[in-house]
Amino acid sequence: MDRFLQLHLLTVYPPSNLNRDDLGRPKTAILGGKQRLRISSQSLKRAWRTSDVFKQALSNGTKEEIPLSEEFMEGLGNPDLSPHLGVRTKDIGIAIYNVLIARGVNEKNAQTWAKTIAEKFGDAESEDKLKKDKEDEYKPLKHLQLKQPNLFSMDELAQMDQLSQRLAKEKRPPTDDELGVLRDDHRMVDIAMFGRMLAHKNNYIREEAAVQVAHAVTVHEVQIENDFFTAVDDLNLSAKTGKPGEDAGAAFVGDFEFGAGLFYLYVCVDREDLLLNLQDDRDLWERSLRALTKATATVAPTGKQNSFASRAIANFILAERGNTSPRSLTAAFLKPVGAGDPLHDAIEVLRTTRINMNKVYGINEATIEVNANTGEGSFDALLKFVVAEGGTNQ
Amino acid sequence: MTDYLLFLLYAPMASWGDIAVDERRPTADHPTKSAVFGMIAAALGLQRNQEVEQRHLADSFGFAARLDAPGVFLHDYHTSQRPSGKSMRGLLTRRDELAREHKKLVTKLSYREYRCDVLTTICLWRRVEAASSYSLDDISKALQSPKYTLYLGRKACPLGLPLRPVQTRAVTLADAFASKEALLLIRRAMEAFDLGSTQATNYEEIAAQLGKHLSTARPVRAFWEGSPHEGFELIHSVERRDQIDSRASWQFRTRLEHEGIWKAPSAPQLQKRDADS
Repeated sequence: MDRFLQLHLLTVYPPSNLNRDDLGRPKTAILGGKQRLRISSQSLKRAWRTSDVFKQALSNGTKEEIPLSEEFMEGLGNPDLSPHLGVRTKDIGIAIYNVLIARGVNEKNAQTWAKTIAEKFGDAESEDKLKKDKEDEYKPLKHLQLKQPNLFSMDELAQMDQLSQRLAKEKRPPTDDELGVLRDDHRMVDIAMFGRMLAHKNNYIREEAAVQVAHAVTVHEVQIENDFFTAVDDLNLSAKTGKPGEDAGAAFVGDFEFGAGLFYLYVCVDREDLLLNLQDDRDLWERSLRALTKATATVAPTGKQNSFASRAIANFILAERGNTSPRSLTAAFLKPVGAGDPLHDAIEVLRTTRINMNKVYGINEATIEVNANTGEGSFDALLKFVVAEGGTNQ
Repeated sequence: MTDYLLFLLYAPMASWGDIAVDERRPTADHPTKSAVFGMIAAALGLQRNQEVEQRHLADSFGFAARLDAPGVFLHDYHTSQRPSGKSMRGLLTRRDELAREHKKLVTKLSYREYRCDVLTTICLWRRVEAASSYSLDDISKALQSPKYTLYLGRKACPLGLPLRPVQTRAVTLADAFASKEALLLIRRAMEAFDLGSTQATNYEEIAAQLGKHLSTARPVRAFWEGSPHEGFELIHSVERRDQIDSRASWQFRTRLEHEGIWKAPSAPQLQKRDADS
């Protein structure tokens, strides 16, 4: 198998996605002696790891769909399940409660058990607070509702429905192990790709994360003065097209009014290590690689979870697969990309640097491109590429 | 005469981990033996819990570094959130951990230092009393086709150039760095960066081209261990705590490191457009 998968992305991120340091200034780095905006590795990882895109892509399993019980569906408010993308809801606790009550569990237990399960996925209101606010009179089950809606995949809904039915039949609360199984696949992928979680007791022996994410930097220079920043060379990139906006030509001073930054992202996956960490589950491995690819291409770091608002689509993706020592192509931007057509120029210099570098070092590996700017290449072809075994140039 | 293995490390961001107290995670301004040997161990496929092999590896080889471009200091404010409270321990994914109200999340701060625009030539030699079963050749092959992902100090610091080590024989370390093979290493980098023609014939000419983008400060500093008389102009010798003792408990021993100035030979060593070995 080609061990390493390398993803190189050129993405325009709007100013709302910039990382800030403890003084509120946008994070920066020096590249080729010139200052660039920087989005930290940790913020990218967090955004991708916790995103809906990642979760949904991971959950599109090949398992047969188990139909949900009537009581469960009612508790969720009878949502439309046909898109098979899962359900975004606060009412998971109510759905579980419904199933338990309908199968003869007493009121107190039904509420307690439902809450135990629901709270694994988010904070629910506290009963005491609701009583204090007298909300419990109008909405007696509000303490089973999550404060924030969360996304649940079809698999997860089915598992919770089945679990609830089993608990009702056996007349007992859920065990820790049972709760653990609820997101088994996702948890395995989470840890295998990104490493252990912080409050988590590590049940896995291996702890090396299979995914490496570099700090992302702008391909162009920026200057930051006194908490404001100006676009050097009159770069004022439209967040949509990556081309200079209408105001290009006017030096632009302002905080959040700065045009977008064109960032170079680099991700390297040790695919063999990932397969090992996923206990040789090939299907899960494929899903995880596709999920990661989708997330890197479409999820912007926001700091807000479950936010649909901020999406950024990568303008250009170049992927490589092989066994030689992986390397980022940041060197392509040692000389900052200037005004004019920064996206076009960045793509060109990234391409030629790669070809040149490979020629100098005698490297010949499988590669694929997706160019949203010109419409060349296809994302589907990329998704096939990232899971292909390797050995031939596909 | 000694056999030497040389390779070039270039990274847009690197971190040469120094002694860290609490949330301050500093970097040294030049490569640590620990960072480089950690990387070599990863290339060889050594696991973190292979204590003996890890220690033997670092003990069996001498280490020297020439700072072709020392880089620029960078300071990163790094925040990490986790849910507070014991009940949060059984949480299933990172997404679940963070699906909490803001006030229920505890933030851990760290201040991590990096070096940007780093270019350094590393030189290794096998010690006489070496216990490790790996040879310079093994290391060279492993670096070219590593078993684990490589990085310089922190995982978020990938390499910016592929590794293509060279071997040479020389009397002193300074001679090893002045060899034609070592020069080819750095000229290849320049060609890969497409920063100048292949008309350069010696180190100074190459450095001049590189210096347009990376800070190739003068004089060129070198760091090495062993005899202080290795052909450099010795500045001083410092005890440095970067020799791995226990990988599992993350403990390091000290070693004596010399710092000096390396003078590049002025005579032309390469023909223009020289073929690569």
